[in-house]
Amino acid sequence: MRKMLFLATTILAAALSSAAANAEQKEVTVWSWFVQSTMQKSIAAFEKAHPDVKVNYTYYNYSPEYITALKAAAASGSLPDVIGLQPGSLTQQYRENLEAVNERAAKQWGDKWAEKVFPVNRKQMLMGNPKGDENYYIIPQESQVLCIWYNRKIFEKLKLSAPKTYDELKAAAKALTDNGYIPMFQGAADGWQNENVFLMLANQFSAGIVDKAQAGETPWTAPELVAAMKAWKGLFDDGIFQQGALGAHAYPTGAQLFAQGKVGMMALGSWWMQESKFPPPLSEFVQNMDGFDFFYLPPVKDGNSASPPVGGIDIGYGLTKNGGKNPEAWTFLAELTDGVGLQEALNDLNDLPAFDGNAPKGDITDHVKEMSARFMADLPKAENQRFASPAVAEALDNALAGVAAGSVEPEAALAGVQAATEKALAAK
Amino acid sequence: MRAGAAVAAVRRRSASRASTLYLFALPATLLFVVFVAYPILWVAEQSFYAGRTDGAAVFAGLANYRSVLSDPTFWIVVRNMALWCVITIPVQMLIGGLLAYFIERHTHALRGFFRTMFFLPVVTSVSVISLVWVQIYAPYYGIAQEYLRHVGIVMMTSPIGDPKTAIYALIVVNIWQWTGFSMLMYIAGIANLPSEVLDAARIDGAKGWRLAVHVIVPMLAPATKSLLLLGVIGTLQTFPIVHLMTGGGPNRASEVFGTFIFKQSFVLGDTGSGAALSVIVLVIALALSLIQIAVLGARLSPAGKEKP
Amino acid sequence: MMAPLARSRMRGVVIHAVLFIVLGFWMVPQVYMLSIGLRTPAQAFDAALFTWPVTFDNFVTVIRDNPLGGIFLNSLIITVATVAIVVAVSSLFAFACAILRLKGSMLLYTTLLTTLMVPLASMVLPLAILLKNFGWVNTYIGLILPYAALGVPFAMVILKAFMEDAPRELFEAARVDGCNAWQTYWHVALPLVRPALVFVTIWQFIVTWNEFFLALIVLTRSEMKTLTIVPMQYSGLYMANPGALFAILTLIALPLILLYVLVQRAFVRGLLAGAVKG
Repeated sequence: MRKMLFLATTILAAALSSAAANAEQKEVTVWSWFVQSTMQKSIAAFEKAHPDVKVNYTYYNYSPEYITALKAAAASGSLPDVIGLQPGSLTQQYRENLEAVNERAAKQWGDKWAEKVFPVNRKQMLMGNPKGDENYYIIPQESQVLCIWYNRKIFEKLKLSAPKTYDELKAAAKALTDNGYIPMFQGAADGWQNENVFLMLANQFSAGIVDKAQAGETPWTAPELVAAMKAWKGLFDDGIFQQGALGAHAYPTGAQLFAQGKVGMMALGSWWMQESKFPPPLSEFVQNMDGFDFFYLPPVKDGNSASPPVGGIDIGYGLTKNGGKNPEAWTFLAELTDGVGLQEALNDLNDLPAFDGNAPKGDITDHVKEMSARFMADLPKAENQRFASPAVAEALDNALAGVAAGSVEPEAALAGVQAATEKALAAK
Repeated sequence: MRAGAAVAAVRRRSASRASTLYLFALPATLLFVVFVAYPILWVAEQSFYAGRTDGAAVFAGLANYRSVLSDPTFWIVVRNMALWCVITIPVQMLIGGLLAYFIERHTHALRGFFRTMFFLPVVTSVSVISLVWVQIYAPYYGIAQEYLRHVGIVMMTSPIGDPKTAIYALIVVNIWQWTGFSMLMYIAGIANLPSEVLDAARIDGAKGWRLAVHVIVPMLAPATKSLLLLGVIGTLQTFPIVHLMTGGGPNRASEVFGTFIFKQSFVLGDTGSGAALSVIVLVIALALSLIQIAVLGARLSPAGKEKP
Repeated sequence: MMAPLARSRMRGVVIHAVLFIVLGFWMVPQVYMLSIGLRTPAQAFDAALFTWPVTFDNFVTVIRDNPLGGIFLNSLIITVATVAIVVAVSSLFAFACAILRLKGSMLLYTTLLTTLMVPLASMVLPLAILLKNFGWVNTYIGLILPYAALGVPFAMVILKAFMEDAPRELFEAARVDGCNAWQTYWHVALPLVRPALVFVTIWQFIVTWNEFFLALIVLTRSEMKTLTIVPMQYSGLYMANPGALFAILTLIALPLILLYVLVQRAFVRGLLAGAVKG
């Protein structure tokens, strides 16, 4: 006991004395949930171009870690210079702590800089701003397009092709199941995966309707949305999703099974192309994306057309009020979103840029190039994927899970989302 | 009564230096005031304010409390917490107590082995545990169904994917993880038993179950009491298992206070109602600890000290 | 009729058999976990308890990719300091409460107990503000003291219960021998509750070692990070190799298991001490 107390005192003293960290001259602090190894490459490229600046990056897992750390830092006024953001609700939560970046961006890239950003991204950058506030608080780095990926090697083996109709989709799911594969893996325990599929469905019934609904221009109980909700339930009942989907997670379980060729289809997005850039060993399917190709959800009802591309900003960055006082912080943010930092990120992950005129460079197969080109062609016409209010997104998550579980009827579930939307709009 | 006299005597003797005796309580009090009491007061204050989207907080009176209490999710949480408490605590005590009893009294060479193996889940990180159990529960590609199939049981859905069973499935995981803790507590209790009491009881002819039930169980009262308290605390503190396995879903069916508060204050950014919830939990906790102290403090404690 | 000796041996065998069967089921998730750490990504989610062949690549990867030494030291400093403070402070307080029965100590006990039940998620924001004001962000002390404050009530509950249950005669004997309160605490109370002290130590060590919520908001610079931060990079949305996550988590759990195996013997010593006294 006595020894322990002595030890404790010694350690405390040591801790206190080592606490004073020596500050660097020019330093930029960055927090995000973005892949650590890729970010390190972007930072290395930046530091090479700006040798007098040092970037200190802290990686967080998104939930609960990142959102907890952000909130705590915001409450205590100790946010870093640059933070990773999602457009809409996350950006809005920290708007008070963020600098409007319009002037800096115009100085950096010219007055027409915003036109270089894809329209859906531009819309998302303003999402949730109070009326009349045309400032940008987030600069997007990467974009994404949602789609259904399928394992083309398995499809070939079973003599299937990418489904063009709902019946073909059902038939493909059945053939996959009969041959011991998981038909379409849905991590329905994750709200975001359910939202994504619902957005595909809803935009198929009426393009842009979810945007109108979350803006209060159309009720969530509109017939198109009810029909989309019923179609959502159908994906579970018709054996398209795997059994027990409601207890499953897209990451790591679903993604892993998909990458290893045990799953036929999965609703993900363009970011799936990252898989081929992860450290080996890679499966034969993931290697150069050889095993994969994508399609958009086929019409679930006669008279519908296939789902339009849905997407927007994958990740963006904001300049905090703290970062506003540090001139190097903006320099880094600019290089990260449309400069040397972005180029490294694209090369490393095969992702889609948010600013037009950028593309991955380096050793990329024709197949990946071709898919990337298809995504890039679809991005400008993509429907919005994001929600302005976290409460609305949360209500929709609950409605989707409730309907899928069979514990709530589609109409009642959507009425709940409508109530949440009205509350959120009133609070504004 | 002798005990009380002795204590009184200790106190009397030092009466002149009574104030120095408070030094015993001082460090704990200091830590408490700075790192617990202040944050709680801060939370209590926040619970009366509502954040607007423009960032300013406005005084909202009891509005946060009203909106929390009228949220149907709150009552799901209360139900889940009650279930959690009522199932987890006794089951853990029972299994943990039985394990401790058999391991301490009937094993010799393998005692350390058993103690360690049953304790392993307690030291295992929750993120691993949740990933493993999600996988165990999964139908179609999980590992439980793979083996259950051989005995003719076919799993159609995941227990955590069904709103009716999700909370129970999580409780099972929680019991599995923490039973080793109850066992360790009882082992400490059994190790603390004065052996002369056991010998005396044995001479009186108490054997096997009679010895266990009539002599050992009452004497483990301090361990049981602590477990009960810690069980309630653990219940109200539940967060990572639920967050990682179901996120409180499907459709909020497995929401607990930890995940509910987290969602309100961090995901939805509604610090005010998160704070109101915290205060409500505090009030519930106060009621529970008063009940425990009143009921258990009075009854269990002296019984343990009675000489047979 | 069986001879009593044979019967007791028989009973011993049955009890061992039952314990082993229970343990077999109990260990399924644990075995599965270890097994995933030894799998290639291709096998990671195979529906089997064991897969073949096993690979140690995951362990190699996580050891190679992380400066585990420095991180380990951070964790160790914070954990040992916290445990020492918690054990010292809580045993003093339990003594004041259970033996000295100081006026007001029960009130404080109840308060401490109650606040212990408030979910940590509610405390994160005010603690962040507090530590920022103290200038304790990114210092060891900024983590150690809150950990200690949150750990003391828990330890105190256990120590108080065990002290209350200790034979009072010994305290009276101490008085007769002329011990003052400090001496009674040191020479009588602490040795008496040794199993509980061991228990509290193990417990606090585990809790502190594994805690990540506060560590996240207090230690925001990479060089200050504790071990709990390491698994995060393998558990995120971009996780390509679950085996690595399980491998690193197994590595993190090892010191805990080692500690537990070492100190659990102290229980046996506690038992012997009791016998000698009698």
